Amino acid sequence: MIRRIMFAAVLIAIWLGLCLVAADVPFGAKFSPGKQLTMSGRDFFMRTGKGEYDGQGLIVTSLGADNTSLQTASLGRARAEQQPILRYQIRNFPRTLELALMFRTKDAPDDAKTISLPVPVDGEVAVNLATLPQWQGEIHEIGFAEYATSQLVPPDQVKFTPFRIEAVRLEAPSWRQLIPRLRNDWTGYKPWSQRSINTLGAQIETVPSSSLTATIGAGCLLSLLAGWAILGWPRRRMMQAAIATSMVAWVLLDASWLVDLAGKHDTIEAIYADKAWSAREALQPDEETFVAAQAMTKVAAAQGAKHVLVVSDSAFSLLRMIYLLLPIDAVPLEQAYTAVPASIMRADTLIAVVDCDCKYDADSRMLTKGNNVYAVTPVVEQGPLRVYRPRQAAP
Amino acid sequence: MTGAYVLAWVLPLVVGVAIYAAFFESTARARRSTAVGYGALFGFLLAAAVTSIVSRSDTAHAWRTAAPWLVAAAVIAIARWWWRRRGSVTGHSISAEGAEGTQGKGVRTRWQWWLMGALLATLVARALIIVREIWLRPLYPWDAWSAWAIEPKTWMLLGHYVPFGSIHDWAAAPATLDMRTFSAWFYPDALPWLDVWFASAAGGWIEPLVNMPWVGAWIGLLFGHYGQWRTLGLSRWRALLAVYVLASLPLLTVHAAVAGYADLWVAALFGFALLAWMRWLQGRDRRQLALALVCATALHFIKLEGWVWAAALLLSMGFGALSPRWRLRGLAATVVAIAILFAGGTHALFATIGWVDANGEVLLERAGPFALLTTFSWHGDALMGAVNAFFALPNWHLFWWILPFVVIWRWRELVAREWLRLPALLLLACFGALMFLFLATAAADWAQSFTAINRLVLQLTPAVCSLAALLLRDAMLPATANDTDRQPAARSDPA
Repeated sequence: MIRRIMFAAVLIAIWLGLCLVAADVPFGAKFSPGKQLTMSGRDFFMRTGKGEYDGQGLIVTSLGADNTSLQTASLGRARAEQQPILRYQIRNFPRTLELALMFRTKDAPDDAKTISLPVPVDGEVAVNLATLPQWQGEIHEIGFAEYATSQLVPPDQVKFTPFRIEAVRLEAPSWRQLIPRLRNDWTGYKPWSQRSINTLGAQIETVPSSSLTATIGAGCLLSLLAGWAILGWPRRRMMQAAIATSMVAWVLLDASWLVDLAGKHDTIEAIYADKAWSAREALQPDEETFVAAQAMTKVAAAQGAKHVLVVSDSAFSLLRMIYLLLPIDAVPLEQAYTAVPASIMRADTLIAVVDCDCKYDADSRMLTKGNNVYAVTPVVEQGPLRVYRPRQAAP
Repeated sequence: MTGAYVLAWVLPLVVGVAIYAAFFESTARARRSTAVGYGALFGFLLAAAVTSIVSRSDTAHAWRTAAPWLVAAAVIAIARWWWRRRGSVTGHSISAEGAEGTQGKGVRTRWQWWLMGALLATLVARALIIVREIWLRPLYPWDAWSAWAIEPKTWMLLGHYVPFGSIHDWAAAPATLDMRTFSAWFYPDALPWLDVWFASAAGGWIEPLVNMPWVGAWIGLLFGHYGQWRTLGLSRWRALLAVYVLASLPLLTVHAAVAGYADLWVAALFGFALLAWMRWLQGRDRRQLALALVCATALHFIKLEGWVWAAALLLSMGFGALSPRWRLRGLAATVVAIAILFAGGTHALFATIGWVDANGEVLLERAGPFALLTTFSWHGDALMGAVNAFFALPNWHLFWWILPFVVIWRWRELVAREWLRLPALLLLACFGALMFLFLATAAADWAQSFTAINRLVLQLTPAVCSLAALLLRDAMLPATANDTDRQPAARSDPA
């Protein structure tokens, strides 16, 4: 009997210890954080978008004109290093939106820094900001920004529903972060991202996330070892326990994955369901690139261009533009210029500029991108697209 | 969805299943399941191959020009299958292959079957989600639109084939030649031609209809593995449980749902090749050896890594065919060959095949990822990335946690049975090669960023799952001291 009680106690210790490790609760942390900075949703002010207050906090009722929203609150004195645990409680947050933390430090009041945050499920979320290089100094303003989930949701398809910011806390590490942290890491909504094809789990790399797989794997292994050591399980009993534990753990993990998959899919249903393919095709997460590609196709046809050289600051926009321009012969300008400089001077060639800080100097008629300068003639500027024709530079 | 598109699905499936039944199968247990699995992949790849040959001048109607060839292949295959079947029925009765396995004849209780039903129901739910994901969404993952779909979309929208080459080839092409370029121009083009087959049947570049074969590959993979596992000696219950394990692996589901990458196809073909080789090793069925060779050689038409996996498979098959004395010599020769490659042989090999320029620099645009093999340096940090990839990320559930214990538990079985031992050595070599890639080359970044490491592991995972399932095919709990009735099941495996 004593051995069984001891076994039960060891099991509790194993699983609690693993959960504390998973939740980044440091060894020796207190149960309660002690000093903490607590804000109600009513302490936040709308910067973009619209909102109203009720008894429980700030209700964001609509996004701004650019489909984004920002709410901020001023802080007294909060040292980032001493209060790295951010806990936030936001209700009814739409799954089509991405959430980011915005903050300013006393050292650089004009520099608004942002960090992507896990999308809040109903209830409280806790994240550890200690590992982020930006999270240092004296924080004097904090806020939340919301926008369409990047590379997933077309900004016009957000289908916004009001959500309420109820409470926000900054505090020292403690056991109190355990449940909100693990609940969101293990069962929270994780949208599809370009990372999903390579790995699942947290789809944002900014804040650390705890591993359910490692916790369950290590927990099962240590529990079986405890059973063998304390209860003296014979080989047959050990095997039975190992098989049963493995199966139960597998099914639990699979149930968690199915919930995750269904959550991911719900967002896709919300955006694309009940629409014809012609409508779905136009609902690209990068709407601006799609619009630019359509415009460029028309320009290329009107100008009789056979080749389009694309330039962009963003690899994503560059490659998307090339794909969306097909079957036009589209090639990255810089790659062509580096490989064979003369190739960009071929007849019937246009240069398409999207999502780029490239400078065009009207006096010299030169387009500058990084260290490269191209002699060009402007053709047309249309929304997010600028089109040039390469020309021979004066000797 | 049009009748043409439905036919574009039915025709490859019919011809693939017919070819499998006519040339590779006998009367093995669960042969229908195996035929559906292997047949689906064969049919898709045959449709791609025929399209690439006969439809270059008119890709917009590719399926119409290619379909008669597939119909002819189906007729020939069905005739051969019928002739074989008739001969075997009128000749002598044939025993069901695979019956020699112990089959783990444990009696299952009703609740165990209910549990199995529930687990399999989750697979159906997964399949429905996968179909809806593909159906609803434009092409999503990065490499799908930046690499794999560039060629087929170009060919389809132009209405004819145009060549793709390096940026230098593109720049040097005469004005009369419509040469194209993109960063992945050297990728194999089986899947791009499969895209053309389905796009032409769909009546245009309709991405959901082009991507739908990925769900076919996922289902085919599961059917093919189930059938071969049954033939290799797994009981129905254990085979279904193994199917659940394989199908529930999250990253495998993702590669079907977020369609467009080639890794799922490589995983299916590599798994199929390994299983056919196992059957050859177990029962010396020459048709299965031929099947293994077909699957292995098809790998390099799918993805560049296919060359590596095909070489590993073919070398392993050759190694397995040697006598013990020659095996030792073969092993020594392999070690020497690897040493030569490390000592500059790779560079010399690249120079021989024209992957090195006049200055002795490796041409990245030709060597592609193989260029990694010319410079070696230790990247210990990648080890943590690899450990995380296997044991912490939610891509595999507890698969890699459990596998070592299965191997330890069934070690004697693994060592005693050549048909398990040789495939295990092959997989060990493949994982050794992966670890070498991540720890000793610049590919270390792929491990630390959790990108290619998981996809490369995915390509081997169904084969590893096969090994684990077959190790457990007749596993029994150890007998208790006073339980003399419970002896390990009789092992009548002829191998």
